[in-house]
Amino acid sequence: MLSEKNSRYLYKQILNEDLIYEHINERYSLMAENTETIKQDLGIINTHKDKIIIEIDYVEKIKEELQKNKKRKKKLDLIHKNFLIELEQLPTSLKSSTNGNSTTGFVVWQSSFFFLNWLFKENGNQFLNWDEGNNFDIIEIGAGVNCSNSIILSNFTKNFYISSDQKGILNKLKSNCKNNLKEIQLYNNTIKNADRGMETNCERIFRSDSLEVNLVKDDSKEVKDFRFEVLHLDWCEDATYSEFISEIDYVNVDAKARLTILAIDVIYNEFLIEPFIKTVKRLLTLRENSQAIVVLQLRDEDIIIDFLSSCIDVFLVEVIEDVDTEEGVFSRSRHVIYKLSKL
Amino acid sequence: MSKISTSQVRENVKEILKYSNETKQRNFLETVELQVGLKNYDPQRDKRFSGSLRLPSTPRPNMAVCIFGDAFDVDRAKSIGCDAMSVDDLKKLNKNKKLIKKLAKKYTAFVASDVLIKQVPRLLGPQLSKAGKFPTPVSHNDDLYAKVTEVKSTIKFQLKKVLCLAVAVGNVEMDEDTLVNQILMSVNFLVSLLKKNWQNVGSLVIKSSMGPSYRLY
Repeated sequence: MLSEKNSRYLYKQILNEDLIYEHINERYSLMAENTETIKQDLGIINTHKDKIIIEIDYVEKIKEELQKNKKRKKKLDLIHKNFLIELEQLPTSLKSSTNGNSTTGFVVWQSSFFFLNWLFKENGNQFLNWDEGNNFDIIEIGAGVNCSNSIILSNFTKNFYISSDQKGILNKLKSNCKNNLKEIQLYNNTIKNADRGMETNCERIFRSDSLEVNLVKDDSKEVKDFRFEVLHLDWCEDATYSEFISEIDYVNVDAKARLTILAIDVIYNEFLIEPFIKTVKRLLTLRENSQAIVVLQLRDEDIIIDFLSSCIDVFLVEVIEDVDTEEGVFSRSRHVIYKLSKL
Repeated sequence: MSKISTSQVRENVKEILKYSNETKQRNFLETVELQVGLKNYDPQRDKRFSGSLRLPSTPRPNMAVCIFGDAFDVDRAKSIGCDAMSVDDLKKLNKNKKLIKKLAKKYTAFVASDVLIKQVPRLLGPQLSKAGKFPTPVSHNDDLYAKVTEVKSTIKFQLKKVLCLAVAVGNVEMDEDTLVNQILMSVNFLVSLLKKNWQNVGSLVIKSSMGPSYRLY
């Protein structure tokens, strides 16, 4: 992991109301300055197309240990990878007025690709300690039809990646996941396992009960299996939480790995704040070592202020900022990443 | 595709200009405002748009702008005839809510020396942010006059809890072509921000400050 000293980014704690306003003032001032260069739109990638293709480049660093004259030398090899995700979305459902639920999840939003680009092009993965061989699992809430986070990040998580959303969205999310499973390269990541000090020929078993892939019906717990699930969790409906929890009884199989709750562009109205905080607070208790990463697009400042004001009473809130605002990634965008952890 | 035509906008603009410049002239520069009524939008469920657009001409040239500056920028502000406040002036407000609210009300926009941007909320508290007035940073290398003009020419569309909004897009001293262009640019930009584009537009009305309103859509 890059130490904060050498990183392009830093965590700034938001402890009180004054710091919330300082942070909001700084970000919105920078947005006002960069009006011409920052995309001014709602944040939907494309409202006209039913199919979107996303490409994310990634450079994998492989450490090879060479033995020469009994002296061990480490060589760093760079492998250029490219994740190609094909996403089907439902722009007509977005425009449907008859649906009582929120329709925002039916299309693909930019925040997710801001986040993925930040992780892989701007070294955000090293800052979050999410690069190769790291010890973390993810539960994503409010994924929408977009499976790119789950597919791409499953290459890095240790034991599982669980995506979740409202029931009406799950079918499309599942079909997108199925169509892109080829981009999960876990089956043959023996080099990565070797780097973790595991047996070199120990391939992990991939399974996804919800997608009916490599389904294990006898409910036996595999020691080295990797779970990729798409589950129902509507955090505005309390009843779905217990059902969700009962389906993820394997969460504590490796309690040492850090559990990350990932939420991308899910706070955009006041009424979402309270149930979101309640859900995240409960999910963070699933493991001792846990955190939530919340990626937001900066729209109505009042909602961001309300969100942060409610969070500081419940979580330790940190915002990821550029060290150099002149050349920074965040300073020149309308996105923000918060880390929430237990107080 | 735009649902309003240039000729339709032009006809209404002619009427506005005729009324304000011939029928009933006022003793101040009337602003031309675009009033928008949205439909099929649920501000409680949908993502609320927010976007800024720089127009080619300043809709409100007399807009009150204040500069929070270091010594260099305070001097520059004076030379271009713009109100300015130094750090000491801001400190004198002593985070007094009433005084800061008054300041936020007096000026439509604020510009601040980039070195002071972080200090502004510390000196003034949350009142400016609560009013949605975030100072635009200016560096010593920037042309201050150009920056102030840029701020004056930038309009913001932001959906709050209600389905109507209004923005100043021009004034009655503009010539017909300029005003038509400003209105069309603003309408097209607004529509690009909406989830369902034209399907979300309920009504579009233009009017001068004291004149009658003209419905475009």
